[in-house]
Amino acid sequence: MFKNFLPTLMAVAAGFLVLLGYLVPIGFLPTLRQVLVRWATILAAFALLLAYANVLRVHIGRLFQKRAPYRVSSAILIAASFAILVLVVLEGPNHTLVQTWLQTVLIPGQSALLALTAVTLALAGTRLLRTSRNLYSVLFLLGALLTLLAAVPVAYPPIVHLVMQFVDAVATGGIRGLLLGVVLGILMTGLRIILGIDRPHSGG
Amino acid sequence: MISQFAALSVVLVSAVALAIYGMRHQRGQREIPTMDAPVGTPAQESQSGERPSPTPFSRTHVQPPFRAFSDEVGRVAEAGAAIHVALGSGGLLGEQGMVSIAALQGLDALVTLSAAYDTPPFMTTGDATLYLLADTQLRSGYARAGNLRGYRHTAVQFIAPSPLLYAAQAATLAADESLGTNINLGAFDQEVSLLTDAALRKNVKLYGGAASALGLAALYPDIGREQLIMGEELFAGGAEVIGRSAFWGSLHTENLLRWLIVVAIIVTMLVSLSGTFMAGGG
Repeated sequence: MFKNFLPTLMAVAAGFLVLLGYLVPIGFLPTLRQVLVRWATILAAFALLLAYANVLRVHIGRLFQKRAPYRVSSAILIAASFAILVLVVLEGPNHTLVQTWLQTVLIPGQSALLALTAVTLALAGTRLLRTSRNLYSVLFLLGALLTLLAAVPVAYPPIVHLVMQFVDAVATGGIRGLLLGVVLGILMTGLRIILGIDRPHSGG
Repeated sequence: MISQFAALSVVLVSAVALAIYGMRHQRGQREIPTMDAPVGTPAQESQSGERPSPTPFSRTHVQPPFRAFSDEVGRVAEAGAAIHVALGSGGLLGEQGMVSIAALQGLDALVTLSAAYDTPPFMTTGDATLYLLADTQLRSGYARAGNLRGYRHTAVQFIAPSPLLYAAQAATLAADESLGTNINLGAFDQEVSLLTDAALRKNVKLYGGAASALGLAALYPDIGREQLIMGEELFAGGAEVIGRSAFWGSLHTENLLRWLIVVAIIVTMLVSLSGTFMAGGG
């Protein structure tokens, strides 16, 4: 009982105080909110350490498996992790080598992935034409096409501009409606946790 | 100060409505005693395969994909394959934290059944705090099934702290494992297309859901409407698979707040229109 009760009590108290700090900014409440949020950030840093321990555990385990695929990639990941760790500990995060690694490997890699995402999205669009030929698919693709066309700096005839404006208005309305629904869901999920009805931190 | 007062009022109204609707649902539940049984138990379903609804309005909240998740456990286990659950990069400290929590609640039945049959899903996350939460969820599923010893520490994996890197690496992993089903549920943006593309290339059955418009736009072409969970539907998973009164109460409160917003929008529009007319007349 104590195992479940204490985390729930802490979560409810912290959640309630942070909420009050936002909504009733009088007295010590905003300061207390800042302190609690700072503590949460520090705890999240420890969560990152645990998560990286999980990454290492998975990849080291994979190295010793006989028939595990991509053992080389696991070896590269572990070697790179240790190399960067040693560099950062010895020279600090702003050292030239660390920055070079960031600028020449990580950032170009992420840019390439972003470009790949554009390709997979285009492929998904063509697949949609093949798999489900219905009104919604046509509208979806038409909307995507018009949005892409709008991004090209060309002088279109007025009618095309009008259609683009219509699509833009419909899309904006749809997105706002979607967001309103999501915000209500977020509000209720948060409220359940603050009231102690829902305890995801205890697995229940 | 006015906005803070308005927010406080909304919170208080929501809390009161949640309590009232929750109690009402609990009272109604006593008349339908099977509602609290977990998804998939025979007592919960009628002969036609339909679950009883606690109120006439509840049917509108039911999202088929959440119920299908637990069916996938048996199907995939028979095929000797695995389920990959990609939870996205919604960390608990960020604004997507509640989306991730709602996604995990929607997966509760899948986790419980998987633990009971000792066929754990392969869960990946793109955030450290979400990794801990998913690990706790799966571990407590095993504990509930009385099989904590069978829990594997590598069943939940943290992949990378950036959404793009997470999606790319999770897609590679999805292509490695002998997958039967791929569920992408949580805080995703357009990077989710990397995951769906990898799964489709292997003819893996796909389910997905996201709260953002970008994520949904990427999921929609690859996932049929029946397998797609859109926006606020993601928050109905807890009610559908766990079935507690508090979850159903939340859905009814959301409905109430939605109507209040509709009324507020119409009133604002009328007031601004009347202001325009009066300015034009004057």
